[in-house]
Amino acid sequence: MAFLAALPLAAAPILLHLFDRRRNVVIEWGAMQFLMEAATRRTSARKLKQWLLLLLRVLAVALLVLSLAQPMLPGNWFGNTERGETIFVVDNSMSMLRTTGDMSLFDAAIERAAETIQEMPAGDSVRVLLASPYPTWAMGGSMRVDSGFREAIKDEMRELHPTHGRSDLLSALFTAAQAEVAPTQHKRRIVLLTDGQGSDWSIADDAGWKRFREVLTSASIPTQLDVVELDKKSKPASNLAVNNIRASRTVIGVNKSFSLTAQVQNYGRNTSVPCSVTWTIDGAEEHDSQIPNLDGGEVHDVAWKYSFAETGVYALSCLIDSKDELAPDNEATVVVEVVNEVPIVLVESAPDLAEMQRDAFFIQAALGWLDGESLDERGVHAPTLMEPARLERTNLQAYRAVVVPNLTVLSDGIVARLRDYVSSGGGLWIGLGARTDIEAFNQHFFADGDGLSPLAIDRIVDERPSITDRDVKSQLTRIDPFLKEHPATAELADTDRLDTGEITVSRHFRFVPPPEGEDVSVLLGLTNGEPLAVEKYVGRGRVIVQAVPLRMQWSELARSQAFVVMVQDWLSYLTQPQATRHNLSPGDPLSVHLADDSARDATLHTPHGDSIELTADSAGDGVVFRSSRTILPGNYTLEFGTAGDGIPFHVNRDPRESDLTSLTTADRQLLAEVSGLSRAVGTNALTVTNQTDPLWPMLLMILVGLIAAELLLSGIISRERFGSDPIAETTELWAEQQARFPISFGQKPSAAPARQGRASEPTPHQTTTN
Amino acid sequence: MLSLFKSKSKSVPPSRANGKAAPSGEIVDPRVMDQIGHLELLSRTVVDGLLAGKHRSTTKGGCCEFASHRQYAPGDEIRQIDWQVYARNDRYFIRQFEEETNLHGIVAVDTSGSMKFGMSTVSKLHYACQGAACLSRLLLHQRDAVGAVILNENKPLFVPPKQHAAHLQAILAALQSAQPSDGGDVGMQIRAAIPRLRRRGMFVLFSDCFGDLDELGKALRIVRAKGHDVVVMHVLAPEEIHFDFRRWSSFQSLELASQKMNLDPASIREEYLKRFRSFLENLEELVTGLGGDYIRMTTNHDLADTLGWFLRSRIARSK
Repeated sequence: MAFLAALPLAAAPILLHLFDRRRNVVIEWGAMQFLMEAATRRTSARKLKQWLLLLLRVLAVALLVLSLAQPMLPGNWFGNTERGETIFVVDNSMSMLRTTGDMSLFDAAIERAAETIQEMPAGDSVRVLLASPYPTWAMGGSMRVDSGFREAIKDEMRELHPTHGRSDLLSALFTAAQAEVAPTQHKRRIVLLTDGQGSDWSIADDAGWKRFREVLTSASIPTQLDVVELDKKSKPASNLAVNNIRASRTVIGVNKSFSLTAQVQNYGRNTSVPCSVTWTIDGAEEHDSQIPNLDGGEVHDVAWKYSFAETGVYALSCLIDSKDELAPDNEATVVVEVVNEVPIVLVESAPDLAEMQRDAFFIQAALGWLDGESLDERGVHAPTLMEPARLERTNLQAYRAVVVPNLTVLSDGIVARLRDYVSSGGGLWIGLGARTDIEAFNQHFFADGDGLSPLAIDRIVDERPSITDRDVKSQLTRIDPFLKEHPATAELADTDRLDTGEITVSRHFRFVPPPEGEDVSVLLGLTNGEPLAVEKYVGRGRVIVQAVPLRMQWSELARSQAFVVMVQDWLSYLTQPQATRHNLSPGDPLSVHLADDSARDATLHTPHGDSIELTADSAGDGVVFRSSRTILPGNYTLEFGTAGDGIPFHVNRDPRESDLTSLTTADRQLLAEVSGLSRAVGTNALTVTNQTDPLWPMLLMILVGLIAAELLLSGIISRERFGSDPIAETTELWAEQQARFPISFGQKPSAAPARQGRASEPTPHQTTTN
Repeated sequence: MLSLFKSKSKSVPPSRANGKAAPSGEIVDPRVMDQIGHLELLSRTVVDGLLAGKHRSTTKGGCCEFASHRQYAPGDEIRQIDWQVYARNDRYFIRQFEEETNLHGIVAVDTSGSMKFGMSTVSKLHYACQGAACLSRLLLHQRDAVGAVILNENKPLFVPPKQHAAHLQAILAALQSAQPSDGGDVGMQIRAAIPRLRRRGMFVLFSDCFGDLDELGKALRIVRAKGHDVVVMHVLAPEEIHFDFRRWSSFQSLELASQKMNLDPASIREEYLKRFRSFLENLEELVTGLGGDYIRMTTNHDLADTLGWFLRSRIARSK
């Protein structure tokens, strides 16, 4: 609008005209008689043209200035006869599966949309945007509402499905408001069909709603937004849900017991009644548990221990036997893989020493192995002893983790190989010991922060108290099991069962503290606050560096009861990246590595029953199936070939979707303030945003017309002014002209001078001849 | 930027006619004389001359050019009888011959205010004086008598025709002394000069002929009636013919100081040209109608070309 200040420029043509008139050039003139006669004969028509030309110029400048100011007109300025488009934004999140009366909220939303389509005038267009799990255009885009298509559109809408995911209504509304506008459409109506669940509205995102308001007001066509809340109940809903199932580990050895914990939460305000919980494996009931009555918002853990006798991939579900409003969240699933063994490498740098003096002896024992032979009670991890020099020649990809119980000096080549190995998903566990060279470690493993170790090491610190201390026992440095919550140390923190807190550390390496502002993940710490084990993610893999060796040296760790749990858990943690992930979050890529490359094709079955054909990619000696179409929460199955059981996968749903709390009055006020959404009387929630039409394109078109008219008129005036035939300057030239254009004068070329000659010829004396 | 809006008033070139008279060397342009010196200005009517010359005389003589026969009357010389005719017709006829004599040429130069005009070229008066001087020089060169009339309302000047070469100086002096007057009607001034034109000869008028065309016509008819061969050298400036002014201008009359017009020249150009064209046609019709020669000359054209064309066409027509 600042350009309007330039509007006085429109007077420039008038000023120039007046200025031009003022600066008269004085000409001393002889032929005044013709001038005076001509001046009295100036026609009014010519004057009119002059003034019209001036007017056109003034208008052209004024229009240019107005166009630059980009004026807008009210949206209904040109009437409402134009064709419009209706975008139905359907909230198809899990909460829409609630039933009110005889149908679910989602079905109610579809019927509401069908009613609206029935009332729409023919010629309008319809689009449907599904909000969950992310805004997706359904039904193949825009469809014209005609008499024949009306029913077809409604039928197609009834084919849509709700998901078990959440919906982000803000981003859905953004997508709808920013959708491409067809040239024939002049207005748009966005109808949001939702259950009014508070968690879908992203209330906290003030900036997002403000931005949405800007988008809505600056839309290129008038846009009206109607919000239809389908859940009209005033009383709060009651809902009991299984949030998730936590498994102590997801890769389990055959006949190895593991624990499962289902988290049950009462999302209602009222106390729930006691009910049973059923555990199923691949759909078959295996175990029942009872849950007591839960207060509103109370969380209850249901635990179950189980072991599998055969290898395979199993889907374990926990189902609450409760009749609440939202049924789909009464069940949660976790997928576990049962294997015979997980191969790992133990680096033994002193194989010739006595058993207790060897590096890998204690860790091997903790895994249930002795001298390379498994004992009766062994863990899932199968160690392979290896001297450091062999690391350079061995294909490490065949193993899930490498454990260096007592680090000695390793060659550059081995360090490089370990780095590649970890980057590709392998796990590395390094125990620092007496033979560790500080300088070599810092140079190769820390490498100024680019290496495998998250921290450099400073020196060996002796933690033994002096002899003079009276209460020696109280001065001993121990492991602090509660330093930090970490999935790998969750079991170790159980001091009721384990002696983690009793393990004393007499000597250890001190890590160089990280620079200010940088954080390092610490797995275990000491009671004096120093870290004992730190970890780093390198590529897809993980590295744990421990300040004491994994043997009977410097600490009582190797002979403690917690050592066995620690070794099992940490190896499970380290081998996780290379294991197939069967439990995914929405959108996580699904990847299955098969050593057998015979299967090249697979089919992925989604929760909605869709089948996605996958083709394998070659990876090393096997094949890999990959897919990113895991956005829908629920159970997936990957089938190979034409028959046979598939591998189950599970995409976890978001527990927040179970919270059926509606938008509060405060939330609505906040939305109204931030986004301009307001509640209208007589409808559920209605906002009418009258957009404005840009006027400047029309002004520019008029400007072009004005310029064309100005050019035409000035051409006509110029032709009138200077288009007259010239007068011959001399008689000679006149004679030449006459000779050059004989036809136009209707006489021969030589006739003109001859005629002139004859006409001027005086009659001579008559001479007569006898 | 401001210079764009500055008035670029075209300074009117100082007219030589309204200033001091040009030196004689400039009036008789040697270059022009080189080009027209070999030509002749012949009278197309008979003239009254005293001496033998190039022009047909009113006197019938016994030499040179045969004119006609007439019937014998008593008193005629017997030797003039054409015996061959007598032999054929058995009747007496006397052979008559034309005599050739010299010409009395008068060059008249209009010095009215409008002749002062000269914008991109020399003034019309200067151009007219140059033309008059060259023609005078040519006539004297062919042994004709030449006189000059300066048509001035305040100080009219008449130089009687004389034949001798030294007379050129007198004519040139008269031309140089010609000063433009404020106004004046050329027809009236010609009529005032007519009594001095005693013998039949050639009357050459250099003028822009602005003013009352009827009055001019009357004057020229009287001149023609007295037997003079009339030639009108119509001197114009290119601006007057084309009127190609584009800006708003203030036109100040050269004849009447009180006459001034502010106007947009381009807007009236068409009407102006229409009237100017009509004026030219009327003038030409007037002059040719009374048997004279009409020559239009513009000050931006070479005088030698215009005079040369005029003389050549006149020679061609007289043969």
